[in-house]
Amino acid sequence: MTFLTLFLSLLIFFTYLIFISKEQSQNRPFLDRLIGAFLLTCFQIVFSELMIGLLGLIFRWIVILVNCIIAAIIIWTSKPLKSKWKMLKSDIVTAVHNFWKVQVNYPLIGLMTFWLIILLAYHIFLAWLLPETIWDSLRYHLPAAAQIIQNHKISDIATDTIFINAYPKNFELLFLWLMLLPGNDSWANAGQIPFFVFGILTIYRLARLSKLSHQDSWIVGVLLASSPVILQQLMVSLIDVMFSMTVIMAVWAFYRFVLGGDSLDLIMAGVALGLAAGGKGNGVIWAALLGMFLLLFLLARAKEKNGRQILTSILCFSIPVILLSSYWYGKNWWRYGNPIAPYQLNIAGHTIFKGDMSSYKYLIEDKLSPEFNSLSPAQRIWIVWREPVIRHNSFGSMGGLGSVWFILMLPAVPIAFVMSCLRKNWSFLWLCAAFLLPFLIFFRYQCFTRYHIFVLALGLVALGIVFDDFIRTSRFLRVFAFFLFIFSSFHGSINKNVTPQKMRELIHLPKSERSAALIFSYGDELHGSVNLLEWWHKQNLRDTLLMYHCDQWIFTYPLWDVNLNNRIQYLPDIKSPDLWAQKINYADWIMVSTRSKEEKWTDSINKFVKVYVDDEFTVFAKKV
Amino acid sequence: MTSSRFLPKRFKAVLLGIYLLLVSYCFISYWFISESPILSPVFAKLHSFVGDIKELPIGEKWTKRYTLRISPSNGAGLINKDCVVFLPFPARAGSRQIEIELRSLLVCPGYKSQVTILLNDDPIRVQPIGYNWQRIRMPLLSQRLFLPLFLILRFDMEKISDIPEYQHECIIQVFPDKDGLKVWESGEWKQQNEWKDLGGVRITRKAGILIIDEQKYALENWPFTVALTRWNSVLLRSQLQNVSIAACKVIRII
Repeated sequence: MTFLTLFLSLLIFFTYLIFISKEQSQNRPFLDRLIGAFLLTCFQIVFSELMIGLLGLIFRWIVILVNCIIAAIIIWTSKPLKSKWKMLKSDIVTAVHNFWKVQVNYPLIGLMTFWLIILLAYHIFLAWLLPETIWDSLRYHLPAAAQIIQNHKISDIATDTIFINAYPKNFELLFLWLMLLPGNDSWANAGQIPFFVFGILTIYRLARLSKLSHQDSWIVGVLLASSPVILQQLMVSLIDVMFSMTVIMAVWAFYRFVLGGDSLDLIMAGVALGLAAGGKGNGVIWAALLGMFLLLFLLARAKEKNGRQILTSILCFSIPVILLSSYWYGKNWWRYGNPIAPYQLNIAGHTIFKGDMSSYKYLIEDKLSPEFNSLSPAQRIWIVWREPVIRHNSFGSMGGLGSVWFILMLPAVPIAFVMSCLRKNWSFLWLCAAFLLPFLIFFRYQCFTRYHIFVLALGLVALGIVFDDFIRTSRFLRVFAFFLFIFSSFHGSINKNVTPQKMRELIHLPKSERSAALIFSYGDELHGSVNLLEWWHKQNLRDTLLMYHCDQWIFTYPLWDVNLNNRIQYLPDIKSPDLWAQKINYADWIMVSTRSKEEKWTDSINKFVKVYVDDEFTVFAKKV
Repeated sequence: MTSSRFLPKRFKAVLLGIYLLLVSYCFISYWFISESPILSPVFAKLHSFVGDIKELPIGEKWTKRYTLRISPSNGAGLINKDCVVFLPFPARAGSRQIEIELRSLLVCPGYKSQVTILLNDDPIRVQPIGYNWQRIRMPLLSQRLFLPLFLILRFDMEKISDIPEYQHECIIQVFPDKDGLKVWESGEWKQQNEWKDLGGVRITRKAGILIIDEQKYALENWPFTVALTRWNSVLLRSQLQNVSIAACKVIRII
């Protein structure tokens, strides 16, 4: 079934690649069509799952069938198919030939590409090898997907984590795609890798649109892989790389439109922003910002365009954004009275939306090393960019953009900015506005590098301009960048949990045995629940219903098991023993806090027997 | 290619010079931060412009000089939870051993203070610590180029016997963690921004406020760092939150 996922994903991708044919978009280079097809593929997957999920029909074969039908309709509308397929084949052959020629003629580029392929292969291997281990993944990204699979629908559920209900879930729907079709989570960790690959291509195209040479554009594209936080995230089920790459793609598509593109570019910008806005709260700011840029652009060109063209442009941009993101925020508004729940929104001292917590306090302040508290946001960012760490992590709490960013890209940004101002080269200035405004809007939040991966796109284009402009030193700078790239990517790929010894241990275990609970060094992430989860995993259960109510929080995701066999259900706080007995009537297993009232109540029910006790958790099983 | 003909050559050369200077600064700053004694004054000056901090964020009052040619540090780091010391590559050239000093700040009857030391993948070492400074020297077994080296110190208190809880008598020092600290003293609240020795007092804990001999002192703005010495009674584990239980300083890498 894993191959079915790959096959179906490729089928949808090629469908769109044929759909955006050369005939329909004459000025669209092959790579632009590849990126466009990727965005539309993501759109189809997310939107189809959202609709099917809202209808309560999330079953493997329904999802496959619906997507096959959509693909068939698109193929049907792409007539004449034969000539388009022929053209696509010739495009692919030409692209591969050109690519190969550059690799052979420029040894440095060849070496960088070779190293990139090794990195990719290594991270795909790790994504497959490692169990889900990251706090956010275990707490809400993957449980959200697992709950949808379990309940066959997208709806709010009883949960001890409000994030499962309140966060927008576009990227979780992509994890769902990787879990539902194969029937296990073996490849859930690899969800961000396609975004990374297309992120490289997007940066290449951004550089080309900024009139850089093929060679320099490819070099700066590959240098995206020098960022440790990206590399660290490729092996785990987080969403920051997905988010950053989609906003970079949105900027690219919008840039294409500004440079004389058509409505398809705006649709792609809308799709990318819809994915981002429906995937993470701050994506809304990106959508609003680019929407504002679009309005300004259309106003500036009002004389050249008629009202209908302007309206078409606005609709092409906004409809995909609304389709992909409005449900999540609308649902929150209706349910919690706050579209950005659980966070509150204050503007100029006034509370616009009441929430349970402050996003800054929860996301940043509570997670900062205490020594950062007395520092200004600028000081924090400066320290983090200098990376005073030896081992990186996927949160980018003490570094993560890499040495290429700090040493070569960061100085290149002001230089490229000055040169662009003097030359009146508006394209780079536009990129500065597009990437720096969101960075500055969320300036306080930027002390974790995972929240501003997108600035790499600006740094890379600036570096490309420096390469291209300073001809005398460009060879030296490229070689220097190459060595920094090798170091930074090697350094960034080292993970505290992935020692050669650990890999040897894991590789001999079947995937079903590679539970986070069994990997000792992950105990920090699993906190006090590691013994419980290890015990649970060893029970090797199938199709069992576990109900839980714990005073302390627990990572529920490992309870589902690798093959998502079990059903996990949270019981909200119940006041009376009778109601409790009624609620747990159908449960096979009950998990409660040790010494809690729920433990006492369950103990008094003859139907259940205590099978596991530790300081924190007690588990009961139904008597056979 | 971007067109370069619109900019005068001399102007471009100036820009290139500025770029290379910035790159050099960032390169040295990234690799050596400012551990090198030769470069240290220069960087201290430069960093004061861009907002560097005096301490690396690995523990309050921690010595920054954790790498090349470490000299004895003046201040000791007070540690609440785990403490991690990272040893960057330049520090490790030719180094064979690391020397640290540890002491417990809580010496409670019925409890044994100990530190669990993890040095990369070396065997875990558990070391009991007492009220006096104790110097520990450890070999840097895992020293390999390009492999990260770090040291984790996990401070803990192990209960060894049951002693009934009663009113605590101790000498207490307080330090405001963040927004300053108000101390109720002589009938009024006084702003406190530095370490203060409150002398021998009785403490009890109420929600959010540590009451220290209600007749004499009360402290607002919990949490704050509290260093406790010369205990005469038992402190409950739950009360240890935000209380520094140990102090540590890196002496040198040899």
